[in-house]
Amino acid sequence: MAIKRVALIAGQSLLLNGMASRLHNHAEQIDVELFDPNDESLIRQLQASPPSIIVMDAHDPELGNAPRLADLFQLLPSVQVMMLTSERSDLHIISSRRIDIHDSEALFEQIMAAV
Amino acid sequence: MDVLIVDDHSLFRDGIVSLLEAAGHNVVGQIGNGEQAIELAANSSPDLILMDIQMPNMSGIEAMRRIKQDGSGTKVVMLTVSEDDDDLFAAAQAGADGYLLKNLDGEEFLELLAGLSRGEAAMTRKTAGRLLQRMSAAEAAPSNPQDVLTERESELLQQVALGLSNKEIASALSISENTVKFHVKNVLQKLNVSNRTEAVSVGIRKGLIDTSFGSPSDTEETHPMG
Repeated sequence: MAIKRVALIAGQSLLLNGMASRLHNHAEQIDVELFDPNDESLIRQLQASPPSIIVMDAHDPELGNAPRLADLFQLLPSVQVMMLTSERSDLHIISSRRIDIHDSEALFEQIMAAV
Repeated sequence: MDVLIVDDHSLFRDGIVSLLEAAGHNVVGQIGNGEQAIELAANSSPDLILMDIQMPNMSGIEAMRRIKQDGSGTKVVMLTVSEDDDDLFAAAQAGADGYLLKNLDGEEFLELLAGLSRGEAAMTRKTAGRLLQRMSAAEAAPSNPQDVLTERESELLQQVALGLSNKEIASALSISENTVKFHVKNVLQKLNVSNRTEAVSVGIRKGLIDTSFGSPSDTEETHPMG
């Protein structure tokens, strides 16, 4: 099985720092890398070796400096974004897939299929 | 350092354990509520407890207060998402050795903990600034007269409210007339009033005088100061 790349985008988040440290124990299955949302070359780095999963802390005060979700999905159409928070023990998974559509009927069909 | 982690967010606890162990600390236990933390702290004698504030059953501040009562010298640092100044101030008053927010960088977190062994409080400059600001505001706020008046002064104010003269108060309280004058002067100063009538009026309004002992109308006579 190929090793999955996991990008943790953490500015000020003890939660993600802790998770990064913990996930390194699974180095044979996942390649975990910590990224700084303030890093101007972040997009370039993600593009250079695209991750399968991006993990962020929803309450990270520096998350506002990270690329917007729309930009991330544009750049990495099949990436899954996982949001953690320091307030609750839960995980919010936001996934993306790209489908070609050429008219409003196709859009309608996708909407109906999704609900 | 031997560290105990108290937080109801199990994933967060797990990560902190990993960070601390990677930095060479020994995690002696972890628990998700304040009540059990008290027992675990007594049994594991940690050097440091990292304590969340908002937890079910018992808040971290109350748990810390009880742990500190045993006099073991265990340091307790609050580790919380709460940026509420009330929580910060309450933690400081209850004897916290630090107050850290969860939105810290891992390295900074470990550096601040390392400062504990040098006698430093574990908090960022920003948090320290907030605490100082809150403390100076509390200092500047007008004090509650009930907290300020001594027991003797309260007793004396009660006698003044009954309309007794200095001589009569001296006799009632078995003290000299000069001592009565001294206490009266202090009471007027502390209540920020200029005569006995005002003192009684303020005293009644602030609940410092038990009006069941006599009618306030008995006090209308103004006695000379000092």
